[in-house]
Amino acid sequence: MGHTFAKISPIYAIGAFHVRTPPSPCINGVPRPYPRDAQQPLLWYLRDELGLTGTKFGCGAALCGACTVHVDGQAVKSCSVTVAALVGKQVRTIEGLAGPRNGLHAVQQAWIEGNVPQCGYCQVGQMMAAAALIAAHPHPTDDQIDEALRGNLCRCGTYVRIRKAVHRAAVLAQAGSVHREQA
Amino acid sequence: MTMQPASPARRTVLRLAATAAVSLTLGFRLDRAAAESNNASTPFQPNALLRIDTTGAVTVLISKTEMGQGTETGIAMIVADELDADWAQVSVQTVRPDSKRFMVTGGSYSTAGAWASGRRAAAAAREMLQQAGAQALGVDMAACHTERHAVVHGATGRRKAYGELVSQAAALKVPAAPTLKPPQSFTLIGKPLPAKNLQAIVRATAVYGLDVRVPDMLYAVIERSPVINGRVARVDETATRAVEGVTHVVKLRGNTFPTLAYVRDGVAVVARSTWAAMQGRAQLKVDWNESWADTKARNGALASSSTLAQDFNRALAGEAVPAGPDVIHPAVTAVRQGTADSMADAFKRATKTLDLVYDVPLQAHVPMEPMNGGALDTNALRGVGAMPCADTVAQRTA
Repeated sequence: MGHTFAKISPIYAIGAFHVRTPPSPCINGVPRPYPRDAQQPLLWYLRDELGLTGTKFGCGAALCGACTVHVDGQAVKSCSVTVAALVGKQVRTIEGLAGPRNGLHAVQQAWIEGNVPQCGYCQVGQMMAAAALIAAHPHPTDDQIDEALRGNLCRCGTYVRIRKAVHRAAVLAQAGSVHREQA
Repeated sequence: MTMQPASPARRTVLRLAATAAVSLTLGFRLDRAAAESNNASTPFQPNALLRIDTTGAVTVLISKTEMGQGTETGIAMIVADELDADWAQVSVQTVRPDSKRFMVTGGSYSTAGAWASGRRAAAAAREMLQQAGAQALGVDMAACHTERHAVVHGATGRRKAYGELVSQAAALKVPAAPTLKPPQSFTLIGKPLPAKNLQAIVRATAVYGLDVRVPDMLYAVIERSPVINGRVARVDETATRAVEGVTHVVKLRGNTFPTLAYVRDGVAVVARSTWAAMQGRAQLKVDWNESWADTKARNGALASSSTLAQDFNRALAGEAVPAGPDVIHPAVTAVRQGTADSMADAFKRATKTLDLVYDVPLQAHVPMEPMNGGALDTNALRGVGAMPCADTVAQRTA
């Protein structure tokens, strides 16, 4: 699925080799093929070329946060950053959030415990923003949570559960890191 | 799928026979009104299924779409509770719209509509399982009860899991009037439970409309008329065609407002990627013919929310309102009790009267997921999927 374009049009695949030594975008720790159009937003490269549809399209104008991913650990709206701008940077999406062991990230665990989602469409973006927040601030305050997630809209209005789950995720992440150090 | 012929008596639960050897499958109707208007002259058409297979897995198939409102989980809870099923072994599937079933999710009646019919179907299945269990245990049916996905012989505690009984139960007659559980015996209904799709949402494996992928699919975006009833006069697609990846530019004729489901005219740009389609759309040069659009000023202003509000107020005051495409119906009294004289008298003697005006602004739904749909058109198969509020409407329109 992820290589649909190469299949449809060999021109794109050939074109990729003509670009001068393009550094492969590194998505979830894996170098991926250079996009046919490096000026396209990361969002569409992820969804249409790599088949990573966990990252959602909401507005395309960095207003809703549904497309939030991590670039070098920072929460970034993938609809508004070109693939070309990611040279030498690490991109992480929801598909790679939990790491290679197919477990759950502390944020995902907290989201399940707190029964956070309703329709769920915004929740990937919410979780990515929350994960970046607790990585930077292991014990975020309500104000820090509100500030970090203010760019992530939820039409179902799950904000109260989200804030509670971020606090819970911070606790789980802390417990997890303690556990890892002891192991 | 073959169905038993409808009996002369009104039928509300139907055994679907083709899969009897490997599952017990009962059909029922989610919408109460349709279920109750059913009679001997019209064959009973189930739009929901309860299926229990020989592993004990229970599947509730519903013609309602989960959009975050909890319908899927709510209907499954109703069925699972009445069936005395183990919640962990219950899953929900949405059936696809077809030409036989009218499929619409809306009006806030989906879960309520399943209350009576879903329970009746589950109670019928439970009684069939109980009868099969009593036979298997060699005891009287009345000496058994059901709990947690099993038929239990009370006196000895011997039990048979539902899965083991499916083949025998499927061969039994569907009870016409199964006994429903009393509310005090409910174990799931009334309790907050996590949605069945919670894990899929959090793990990002849930497939939304925009996530549907088929091999070699193309992506389309649509430039719509900026005004109601605007028509495409001319399209210059040269620059659009020059965008790499764009494959088609298609003029779309909508319908004419007012109509129940108004669709604006537009120009679709089809491409090998969403981004290419969006780029192509940005390059379109469309001249719109707005001569059918409502651009007539009334009281010095173009039609807008505030002119509409003025029209409403004039209608309330009993004044004539302008005829035309946006005709306002005269004021309607929603509730009135008693005669005009008794009302007047009541108002006269009231210690307190209320004179309140409620109004609601025009609000677009604007879901987080942009409106979208998918179409499959091959020699072998043709199908259309769309935003799930009105599946059947979308299918017929296509």
